Amino acid sequence: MDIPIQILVTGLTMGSMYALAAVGLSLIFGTLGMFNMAHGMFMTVGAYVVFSLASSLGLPMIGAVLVAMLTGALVGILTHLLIVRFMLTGTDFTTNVIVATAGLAILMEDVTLKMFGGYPYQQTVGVSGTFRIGGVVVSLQSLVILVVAMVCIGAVAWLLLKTRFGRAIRATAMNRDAARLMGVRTNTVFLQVMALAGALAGVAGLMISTVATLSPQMGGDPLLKAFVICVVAGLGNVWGAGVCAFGLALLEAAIGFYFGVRFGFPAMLILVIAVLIWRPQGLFGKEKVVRL
Amino acid sequence: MTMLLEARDVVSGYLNRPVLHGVSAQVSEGEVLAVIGPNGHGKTTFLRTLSGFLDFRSGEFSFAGKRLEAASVHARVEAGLIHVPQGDQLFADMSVQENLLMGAYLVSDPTLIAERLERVFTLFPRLKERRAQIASSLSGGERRMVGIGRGLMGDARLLMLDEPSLGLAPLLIEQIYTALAALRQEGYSFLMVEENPSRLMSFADRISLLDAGRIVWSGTTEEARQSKDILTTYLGGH
Amino acid sequence: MTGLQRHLGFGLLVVVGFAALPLVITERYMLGEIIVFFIWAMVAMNWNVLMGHAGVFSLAQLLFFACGAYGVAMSVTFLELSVWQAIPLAATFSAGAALLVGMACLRLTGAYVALLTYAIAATVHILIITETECFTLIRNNCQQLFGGSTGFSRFDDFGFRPLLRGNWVLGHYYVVLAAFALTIVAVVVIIHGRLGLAFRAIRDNVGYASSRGIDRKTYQVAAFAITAFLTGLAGGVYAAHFRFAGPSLFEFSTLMFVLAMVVVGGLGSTWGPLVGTGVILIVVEVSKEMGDARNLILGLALILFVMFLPKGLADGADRLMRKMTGRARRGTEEKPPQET
Repeated sequence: MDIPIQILVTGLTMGSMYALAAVGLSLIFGTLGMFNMAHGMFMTVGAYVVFSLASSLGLPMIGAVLVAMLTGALVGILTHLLIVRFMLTGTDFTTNVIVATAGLAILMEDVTLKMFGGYPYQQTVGVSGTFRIGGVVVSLQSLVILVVAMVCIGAVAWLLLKTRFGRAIRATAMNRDAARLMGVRTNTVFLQVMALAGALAGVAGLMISTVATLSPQMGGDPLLKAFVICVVAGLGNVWGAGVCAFGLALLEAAIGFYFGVRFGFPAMLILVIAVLIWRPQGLFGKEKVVRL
Repeated sequence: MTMLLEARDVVSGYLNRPVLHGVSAQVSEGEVLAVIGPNGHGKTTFLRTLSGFLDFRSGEFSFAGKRLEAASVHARVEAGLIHVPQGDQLFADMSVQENLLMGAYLVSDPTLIAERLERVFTLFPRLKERRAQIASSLSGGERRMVGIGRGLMGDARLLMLDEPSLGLAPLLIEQIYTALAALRQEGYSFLMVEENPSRLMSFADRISLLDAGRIVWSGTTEEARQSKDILTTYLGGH
Repeated sequence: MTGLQRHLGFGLLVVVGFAALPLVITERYMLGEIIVFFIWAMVAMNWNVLMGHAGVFSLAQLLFFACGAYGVAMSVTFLELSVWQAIPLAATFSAGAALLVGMACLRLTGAYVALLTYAIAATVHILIITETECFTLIRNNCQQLFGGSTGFSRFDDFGFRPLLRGNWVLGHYYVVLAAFALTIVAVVVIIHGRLGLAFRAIRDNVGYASSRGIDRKTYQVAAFAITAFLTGLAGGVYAAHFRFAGPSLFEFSTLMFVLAMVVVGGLGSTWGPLVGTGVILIVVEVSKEMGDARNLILGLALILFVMFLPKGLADGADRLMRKMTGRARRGTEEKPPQET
């Protein structure tokens, strides 16, 4: 009984972090048609800003989450205002923006490295302590991660489904021209989406840093997983991304447990490729998105 | 009658391909102007230029007393110029009701929104039954109703309809035009584009013929009926 | 003269020019730098064929480069082959790997391909750097099967040292130049030959192309495998020249390094990547002297070029020429290269 519980706990903790990253990534793709290669750096920056504020001022968990959100949102907004905005109407936007955000990623990574060095710092915020489920020791921080992720994703779902603001985002994603005909300022929507996704990424980065360490490259691994999750779900499918994040994290945890942690992700990737050969549009995607 | 929409010598088009070479149109308050003409000669481009999707290369455009040729799409919608695009362009994964609510995106008064929703449902009772249905699962006629209904949810003073009869069966065309006639009674003005003019003869006040990016004939519906040869030449007679 | 012949002629000039260069330049350091240029130019030119012409946005190019390098390193280390046998073997292995990846990924298009190829390359990278189990002991050191986080080094190279003594680098120079020349011929033939025509048809209208028997996936997989062979060849000669193959060859910053060459040079051109490779190598060299700003500059270059000059220097120069020579020459400049 303990093994399934252990896998479940690990899977849910990882799934929470992946979901935070993947939902934002998917939201950006769905609305702007943009694949954000710098999303991993959004996470990293969120974690580092909390780290520096917390080490000098001290921050409670809730404050740390807010700071991470604000930082991520700010980075998202700046990325849009300084780079993406100018490219949106150009030709080959999809590929060009991948190149531009990849460039941004390596630039930001380098800046982080120069500011903080490569030393793997320990995140200063976080709750300590453990509790037991059956024979499995679970850290309180895992629970915090799960709760924070659930609250954030729940809030995003509510925003998207129940508010006028969210309806405008969904409308823009579904049919940009029609949304403009309704009076939606799509440029503002793009900015809001970048802020929202950035905020989620910031939180994801903070959460990851509480269970791992801080390093300029810390965003790379979760970004990779978020990519794969988004592809499996069908690019731009926000709900699918949330579901797949947990599904794939549980799978990764199980494979990691039985075959060694190194193989968790590769096995997941092979599965993903198999899924795509069977359904090229992703598990939840629509046919038209990728064909031709 | 006061002038509501006035476009003068509009030149516009796509990157390397000018489509409109100086098109003018006027619609007075409560009037219906129909722009007809063969396919691919700029009718849709004209509407898209007026609603702000394409830039004016030259020409003037005023609506409800405001100069709008350089205004954003948003500003034109806010002024009450509502474009119901060709092929409906619904929000495919939203319900009928959500689609309609998007039409009221710039309306902030909730009671006004509720009132307008009711009015759309009275106009198209079928939509009330299907209000929770996802738009992509609707039939062609129902989609058209949502498209027009969505246009009515905002503060429209003039509706620009792009081929409201496109792809519909005669019975449904009849239904749509009955609804449009009711709206006309309520005082809406229309600028519509149609390829098939037969239904327009009893609906439009004036008709303009757009050919190769230019208005080649303009007159009242009555005049159009009398100079039938013009219509026959351009539209193969009806 | 057809576009193909014209470009082949230009390619010949380039190769002859480089072949004559050691008459002027004799310092070993400079020759070494030019060898590096050849190698990265090969990778960049192939990437440009794939991304700028075949419409496949692959982010696994450096993985195929690494396949070539590792192929050479491993067959020399474990199978005791000479590098001369190992290089073609490694390039073929690289093409085989690309065939597999291509068949799996190229059912998809656009951003999906970019993501999947990126994920595959990154996964292999992670698997290699986390490998700790020793496969054999070499010189009393643990040698992992795939080299672990340090990779392979100090295996046998081309063997010019006993032959040419102090001038061994010239041997390397001409071997790598030969590989470079082969790449130029192949790349020009692809871009300006029938394959390039098919790519253009697919880009213009994929539906129409397929109705005329040009199937997108088949052609793209073919392009994927051919360019991977040549990229693997570049990796092979890299390993043989530097006697090194390791995970740094296909880490993210190396990917960006070569991507910058392609983008700065000019996606979709024929010769742009050569220019791009030269420019980026020089810029990186200069940046070394001003504190290590390599990644910063690469990132900035990528962003700025994509924003302001998305077709790279090749297009920029073209437009400048056009502006200077006036509109009269425009017709000839724009004529498609296959005017036979």
